[in-house]
Amino acid sequence: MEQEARQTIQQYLDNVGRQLSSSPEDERAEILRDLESHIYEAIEARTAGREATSEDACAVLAEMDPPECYGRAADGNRGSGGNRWTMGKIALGISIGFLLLAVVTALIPGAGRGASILSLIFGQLVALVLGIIARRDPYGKAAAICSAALLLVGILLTA
Amino acid sequence: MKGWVTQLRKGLLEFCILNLLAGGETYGYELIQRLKKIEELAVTESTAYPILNRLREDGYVTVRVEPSRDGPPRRYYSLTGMGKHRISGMNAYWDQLSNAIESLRSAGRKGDK
Repeated sequence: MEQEARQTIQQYLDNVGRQLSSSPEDERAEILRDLESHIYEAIEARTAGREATSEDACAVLAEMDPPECYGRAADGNRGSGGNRWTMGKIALGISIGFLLLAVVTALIPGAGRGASILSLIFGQLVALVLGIIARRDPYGKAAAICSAALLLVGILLTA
Repeated sequence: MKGWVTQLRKGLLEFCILNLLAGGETYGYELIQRLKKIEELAVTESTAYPILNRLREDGYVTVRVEPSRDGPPRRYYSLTGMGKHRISGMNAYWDQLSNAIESLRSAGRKGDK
């Protein structure tokens, strides 16, 4: 395959990648791998053994969706697999909620430092588990990182 | 009408992809070409690959990668055990649903006469 043809394909893939920028990283990488493989297969079917030129690459890409379509399609598709997204948000909510609860408990006179740390550890443990389950979405990943850090803080405070 | 057709197509595409893969391992380009033959589905790469990816994430489909002579590796898709179970359930539901709808339609046609 001519170098120019490869560059044309790469340019298309880069544009699609930009359209998928709001998708989770592994989802974006998988779709791009699928597309790259698809494009090369389509060119091979078109050229039937001869060296592929830039015109071949352009002709194949012209028959495919413009890059803008991929962002819309991925967003629409994510709607039907929304459980993970919801779980990620819940995990983040629990993490932040229990952090606030721990702070408030610490400020209440007589509530005690122990109750504050206990609520922090318990909440962050729950958030960490949910965050790990929902780690594929950005909220889940953020919840897992936040709760792990806060859990560590909680454990250090008990020491 | 147009919105209804779009929603129906979206649901049917997953059903068709799983049914196609039930026939055996297939690579991406071939899968899309076969789906494109069903004009009513209006399949494009931007609609099919995100669905394939979701099916893979949900554990219904698995990908096998095989090196190719010139270019990136070829990616073969097949159903997992969970995918086979899902498509058999979907097919059973489809049969029941289409029979029920057909009964409704034939009752409607009798009413027209």
